[in-house]
Amino acid sequence: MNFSFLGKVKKLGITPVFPLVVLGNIWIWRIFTLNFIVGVILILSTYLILTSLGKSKLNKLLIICYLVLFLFSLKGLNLTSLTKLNKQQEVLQIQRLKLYPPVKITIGTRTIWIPAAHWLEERPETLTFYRLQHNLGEVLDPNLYFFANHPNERVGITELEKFPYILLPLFLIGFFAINFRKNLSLIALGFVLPIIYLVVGNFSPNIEPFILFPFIAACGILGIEYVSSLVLKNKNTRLKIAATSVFILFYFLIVIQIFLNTRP
Amino acid sequence: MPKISFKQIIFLSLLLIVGIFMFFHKLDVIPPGFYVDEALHGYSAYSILETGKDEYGKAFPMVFRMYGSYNEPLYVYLTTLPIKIWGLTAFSVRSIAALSGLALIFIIYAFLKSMKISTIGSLFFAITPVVVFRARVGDEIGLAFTLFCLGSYFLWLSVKKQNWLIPAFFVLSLSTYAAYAQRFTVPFVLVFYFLFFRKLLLAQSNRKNFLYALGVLILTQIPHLYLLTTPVFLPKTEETGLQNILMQSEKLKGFIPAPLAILLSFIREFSSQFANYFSPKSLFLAGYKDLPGLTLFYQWMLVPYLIGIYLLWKKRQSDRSKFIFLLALSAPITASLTKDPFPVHRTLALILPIFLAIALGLDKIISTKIFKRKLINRGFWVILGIVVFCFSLILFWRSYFVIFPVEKAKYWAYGYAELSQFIKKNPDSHFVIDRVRIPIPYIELAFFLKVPPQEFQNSVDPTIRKNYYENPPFDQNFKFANIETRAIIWEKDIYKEQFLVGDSLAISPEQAQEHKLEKALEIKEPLGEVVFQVYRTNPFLKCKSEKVKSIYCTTSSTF
Repeated sequence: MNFSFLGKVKKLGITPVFPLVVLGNIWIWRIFTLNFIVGVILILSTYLILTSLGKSKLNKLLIICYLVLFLFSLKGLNLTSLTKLNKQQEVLQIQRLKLYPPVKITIGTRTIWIPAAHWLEERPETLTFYRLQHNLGEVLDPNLYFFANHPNERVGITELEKFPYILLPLFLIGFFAINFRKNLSLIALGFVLPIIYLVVGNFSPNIEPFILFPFIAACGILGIEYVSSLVLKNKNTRLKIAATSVFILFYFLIVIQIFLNTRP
Repeated sequence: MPKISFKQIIFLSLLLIVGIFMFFHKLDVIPPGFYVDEALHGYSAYSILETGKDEYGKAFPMVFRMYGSYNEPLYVYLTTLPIKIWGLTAFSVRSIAALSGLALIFIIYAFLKSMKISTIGSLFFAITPVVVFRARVGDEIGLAFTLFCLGSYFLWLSVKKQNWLIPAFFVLSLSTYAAYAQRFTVPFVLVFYFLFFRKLLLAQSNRKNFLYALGVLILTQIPHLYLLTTPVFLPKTEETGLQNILMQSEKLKGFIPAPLAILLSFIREFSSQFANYFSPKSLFLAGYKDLPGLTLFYQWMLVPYLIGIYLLWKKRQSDRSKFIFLLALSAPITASLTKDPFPVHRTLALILPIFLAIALGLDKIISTKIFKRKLINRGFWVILGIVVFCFSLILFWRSYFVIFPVEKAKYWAYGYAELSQFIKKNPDSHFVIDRVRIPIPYIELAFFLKVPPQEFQNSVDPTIRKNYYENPPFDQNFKFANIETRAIIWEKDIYKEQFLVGDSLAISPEQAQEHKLEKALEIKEPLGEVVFQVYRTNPFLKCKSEKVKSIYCTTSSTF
């Protein structure tokens, strides 16, 4: 795979694509209205991820930014409730405990009874496992970030638009364009740690996973850079102009569509 | 003919044992009850076997009308064989699906081997929740998936040896006669195949094969080409996501020109559905609605899935990656055009590329050297593999064999066997089955009572048979043997000596008291909820209790 386009990011620092992605989404403006400082740190972090990717070296300022972001998101932390069940889940648990047949292992004359129901329905480790699985599902769902969770809208939660959906394929291209071996620490800081934090933190579904904003935005930018590098290779200038114009037009149309969709 | 090593024989035997256990263990009782689709296929097969006609009296139809769904015929015709051997039972109807599931794990084995991916993946495929679940349901979906995988396997082989193109086109074409969604999925797969491998297909040396394959495809599609001219080719148009799109576009109109608003809404709806099919949440982490407490794939498979996708992308110029990508891109298109989020029965074809990506990731993981000594390294992966395999089986046992038979019994038409027994014990009584909330009860009763097909055929409107492919409207009211399935007519039905059957809401205790109904039977599902209640009418007492006598008190036997 040709990673040469990453060099361009390194040289330019901020390309014209940068403001398009970091400001051309509903999410950042909502964050600005809630907390301006967080919004600024998120944009700064996006920039620092891009420069770090170009150099394959972790920027110290980026670590500080993430520390601040982690601190800001402490507000929704809910560590104690990983094993706690709501009323409905408690009823289901009691119901399921009764369903298990007796499970035993007989070795010679000795019979060992296995408390399968307790292990699979009641033990705190099991409950934690099921909860973490659920939380991971919420965080790792691309539809949450690009389609306001459509078509899996959750009951009782106002699903909010984040990035324009045109960025989804570009995000994937950008994500896979990263050299994971060279940028392991960056991936750990920008992607893995926030995910672990969001999953273990057991945040309420209403809390937005804004800590993932910089990484998603950075991957989106990388994806656009990659695709544009392919388009720019073409010798036909008209085609280049047409492709760029169509992309920008389509991008803004989608932002308008998302904006209109969010209106009550 | 390639030689099979002793190791391979051991592995294939293990695969067979695991497959037989997963697909056939307690097949007659789990899934609990007998789903309406199973009853429709089972009774249609019985009818074909006995009379050569379906329940409407149509001789060897190209598609089966059933409840106006016009299902593909292959599963019905194949099910005649087990019904001939074992009789009309749940096991007979499910056995073709289970057998095709068993065959499928060997197809996957061959697929992985030909792709130079570790065949250990096929063992995990044999216990994958969505695969096992679908292979144990007596409907067309599992069979269609097996044929799709076989056709795709031949198609993959044709990339290396063009002779395989003809069997590939033949089997893929055959799969379109197994399930409705395949009619649309297979053309998409072939179009993408052409786009990805057009140089190969159009090469001079391959033209003959390509033309023959096209010929086979056209010949085998003649019944569909005929049906294309009739209304039954697209009987499920209301299931498209058109309404959602139009609703979304309403918000944009006034700001954006209407055609553009519809286009943007379509793109958003389609792409959100499409993305949902690859989401880790949908595949590995969120509950599979049919199986309580379980996901389509085991959650640990997320790791090899992500690694697999990364490897595919990294080597995207290779034939293997291109082939898996073409399957992944084409398989969910049909389902993405419908309104439901992740309808598994419409998108089972997608399971193939997803699993190939998982197997690729698994291959990469187990080839990783953690320990320097080869033996220790291998031992480590073998032990870890066994632990993961057992862990997966425990999760499956919990969901499928412990929770599912109880929690989902109600949705699997539980109680018809018992109700049929009661009807059999009262052959001289008349039964009115209130069908207002019960989905299509006629076919369940026809199945469990083994109503002679000729008798059933005589009871249906003969104009349906005449206009079979014109899609005449489906009337849920049936009258056969001593049974009527319709809404209870309270003004009349209580004045005739008969049994009234309904769900827990059909007849309230107050109604029973007021109309002098006597409870004859109550059928509860395993969780204790009433699924059927049977009341005996008492016209004599009812008429006696009325101050102003109903007109039916004197003419109760005339209607």
